[in-house]
Amino acid sequence: MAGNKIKLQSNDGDTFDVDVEIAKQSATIKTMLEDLGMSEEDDVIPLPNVNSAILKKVIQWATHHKDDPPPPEDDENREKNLSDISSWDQDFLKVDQGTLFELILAANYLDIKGLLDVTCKTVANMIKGRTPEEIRRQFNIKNDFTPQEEEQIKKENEWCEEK
Amino acid sequence: MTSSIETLSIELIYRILSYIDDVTIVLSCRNVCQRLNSIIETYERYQKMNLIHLRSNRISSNCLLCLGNILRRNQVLKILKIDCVQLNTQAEQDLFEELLKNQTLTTLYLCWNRISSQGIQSLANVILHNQTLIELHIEGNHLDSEGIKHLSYSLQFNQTLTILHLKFNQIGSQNVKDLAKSLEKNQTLIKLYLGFNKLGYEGS
Repeated sequence: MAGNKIKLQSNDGDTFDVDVEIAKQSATIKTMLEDLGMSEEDDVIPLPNVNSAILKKVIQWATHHKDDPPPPEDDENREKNLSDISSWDQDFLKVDQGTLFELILAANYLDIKGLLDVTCKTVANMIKGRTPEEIRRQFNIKNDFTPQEEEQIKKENEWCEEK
Repeated sequence: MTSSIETLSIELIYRILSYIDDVTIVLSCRNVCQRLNSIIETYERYQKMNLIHLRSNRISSNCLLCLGNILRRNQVLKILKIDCVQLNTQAEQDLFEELLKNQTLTTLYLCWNRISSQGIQSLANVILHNQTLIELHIEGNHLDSEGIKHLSYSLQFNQTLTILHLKFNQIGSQNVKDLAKSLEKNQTLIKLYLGFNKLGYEGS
């Protein structure tokens, strides 16, 4: 079956021919092919949650990582290692924030653990060493605390501000 | 709608938090917005956080600390380490007020923080009333005769502390006598560390 291809269709109608083994890095697609009985000859696999630009990036990532060993199972409630983002992945993820979060959503929907890990790690790196105000600016998050809550937060924080 | 961190599901935020250390969650992620606060409060690792270690470099780079918040809300925090942080007077008072109310900490490190005389007095008050602290480290705080008097008084009544580290302070021979006298009434302290003070022959 090596070299067999399937067609993946984005939600904006574009189709991409992808090697089956590369596509199977997505547990969602793997399930469609294996458990649901879809065959590689079927017309196309529709991916209604992924647009063309993001699907192209996902395929690019999966192609580069096609020979990687399967990522280990993890426990979301334990602190994980943040240091191991390869230089290729770092370059790959030099994208605008909208794209980065679209990639997280796509990796989650397609169930590609390796891509989900590396994108989440990238966001975690963007958070480390910043104050809450800097994080708001970084991610364009609205400060939605009431003036009373804000006052309380200030009070909680002021006792350890730098002299 | 453009995707952003605000549009991610709770599970995906949990996944991002899983790559962030405890102190960053407390210092950086708390109080960004209401939603993130709610998510963090339901995050299992945050709820089970039993050790926080704040060092000088972390504090100075972040300038912020929501420790009061976590001391109040987290019911499982057992060990708190605050080392080499120069807390201002108000900060000391607020910290010790929080510690006075806290009923979960068993080990407290306050090393090399240059705690003021007033701060030591407040700490002594914590020792007087607290019923959970087992181990206290206050090395390197310029603890002088006035401070040791307050501590000695509280130690007479404290019934939980078993280990007390007082190394690298300014404790003199007379202070040790006060301390020894108070310990006659204390029935729980097992280990007392006094190295690198000004005990002299008589104090030793």
